[in-house]
Amino acid sequence: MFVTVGDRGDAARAQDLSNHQGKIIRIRADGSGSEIWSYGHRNPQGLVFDTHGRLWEHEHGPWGGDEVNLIKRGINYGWPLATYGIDYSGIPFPNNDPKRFEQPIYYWPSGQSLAPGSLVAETLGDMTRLWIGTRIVTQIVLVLDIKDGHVVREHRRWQGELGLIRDLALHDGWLYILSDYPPAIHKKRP
Amino acid sequence: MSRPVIVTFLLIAAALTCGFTPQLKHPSAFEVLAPDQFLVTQSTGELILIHNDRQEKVRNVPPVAWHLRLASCSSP
Repeated sequence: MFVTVGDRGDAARAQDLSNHQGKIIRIRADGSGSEIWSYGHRNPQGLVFDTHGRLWEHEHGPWGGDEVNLIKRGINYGWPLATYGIDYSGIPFPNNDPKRFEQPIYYWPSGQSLAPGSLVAETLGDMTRLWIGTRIVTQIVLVLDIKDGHVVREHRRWQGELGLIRDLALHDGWLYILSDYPPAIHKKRP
Repeated sequence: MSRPVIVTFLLIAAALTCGFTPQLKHPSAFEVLAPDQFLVTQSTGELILIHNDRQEKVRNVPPVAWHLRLASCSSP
């Protein structure tokens, strides 16, 4: 079982391997223990395997800098030494060097805070399609088409129609969307 | 556009985006069991089964359950 843990407001601990903050943790199902799978995460929200066994994650940046990452074992994803966002004060982080660390597959730059909250992966031939529900301000379903490790298309759907999106699921050719404010289950053709 | 055409368009649009509104309180995560059958956690601390437009409480769960996934298991 894979579990995400945010930095809980103490960014430096995401680089400290003596704790679980800012990490993705693998817990063995037989109860024999756990290991840090990756680190340097700020606030991971979505985590999903695709049909090829690749592990996708998205996380909230500070002000801007929300990321989609392809998670690899033992890799440092850089937070707080690397981010494409800026501090809430509007001041860039000192000594920030995003290129030093594993690059996100995709990110939204400063000024765009989408707050991704749920994640579903779909395999379409040689392309991976990620469905991302956003929680707070934007309340949209983002669609990212990824080919050869690059996003070839970003598409935004049902903006403002669904309320606050909590969870997504693909089933039997339908996309189901669980929302709050108002609470509902929406059924859409993807 | 004439009124019948508009009404037809709206009916088709409603059919394509059909959904329903169960009586949930701050749902946080769900699992689709089958078409239109769901398990839903809600932040009041309940796991709800929705089935054939009915819903029932299955059990209590932690109040902030952001993810829900079913796993199969066997017992000896």
